[in-house]
Amino acid sequence: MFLPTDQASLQNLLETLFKDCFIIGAIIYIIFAVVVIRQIAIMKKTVSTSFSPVIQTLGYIHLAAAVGVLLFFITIL
Amino acid sequence: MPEIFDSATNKKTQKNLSSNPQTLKNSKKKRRPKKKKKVDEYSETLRQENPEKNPVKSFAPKPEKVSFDSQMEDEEIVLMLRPHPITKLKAIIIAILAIFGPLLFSSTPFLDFLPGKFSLAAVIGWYMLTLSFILENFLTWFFNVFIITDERLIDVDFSSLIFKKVSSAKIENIEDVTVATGGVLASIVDFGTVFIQTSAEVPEIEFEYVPHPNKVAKVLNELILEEEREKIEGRVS
Repeated sequence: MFLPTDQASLQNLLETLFKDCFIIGAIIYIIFAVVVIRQIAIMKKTVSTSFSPVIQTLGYIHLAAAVGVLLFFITIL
Repeated sequence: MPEIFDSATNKKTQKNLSSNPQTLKNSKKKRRPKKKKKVDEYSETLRQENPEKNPVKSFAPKPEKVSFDSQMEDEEIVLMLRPHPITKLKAIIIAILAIFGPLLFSSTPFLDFLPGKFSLAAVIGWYMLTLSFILENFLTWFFNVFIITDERLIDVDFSSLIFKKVSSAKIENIEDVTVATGGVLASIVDFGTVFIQTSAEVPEIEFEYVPHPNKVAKVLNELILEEEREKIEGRVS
């Protein structure tokens, strides 16, 4: 396996590794946010209150934030 | 000979009954089940409570704009309960610490080994995890409800985001109601667990850490009494 010996290449490799880790983390987080939305829908169907639409909106905002974070990680890192 | 043994008299009475339209109307009226009473008519405890409009209350008598999926048309929710918010104290403290965590560590060289942009990404990642922790705890608390209707008890358990359990028992199947409170905190803020033994398929339903457990038990006893009264008076629909 090829391993860089000079410091610049090693730093570059580490940065790429960190970037990939952050992006994978953000993708997993998006999956979690989708599961949350799905669960809110099931919970809302089981027990419906006047606050349920607010919670559903919160779920969508959470998903949007997760997507935003992924885009941020892709562009900035 | 007494009239009761006289078949001719008996037939005559029957003929009179069937020919009189007013009598027929009355007998039809009698056969129809009487209208179900409203909860305020028989529950002294709930009569003193105002209908709850706040959807995030943990003790909600006669809650407004609340329904559940297996609710029947004439079924009325008399009480909706959630675990007392104080039972989530540990999670609240963890969330507060998590929110202020990056601020506390900003003075220490905790993330200095990372380049600037990665430090920012790590802080954002930390806050996303904190947000997910808060959201998951809030959702499981909010949807983990105990519903008492004028016909049934329903225990909706969302112990995590991916686990759901709904148990129910009819009021007429309740055999015993036990209230358990313990600890300094429970005594101060008045919360406890109500154990309901039933003769239904689910032998015991637990309303865990609910506010005012004695009031809940009183309401349940009033509902049991009303159910028995309904049976005696023939108001069972």
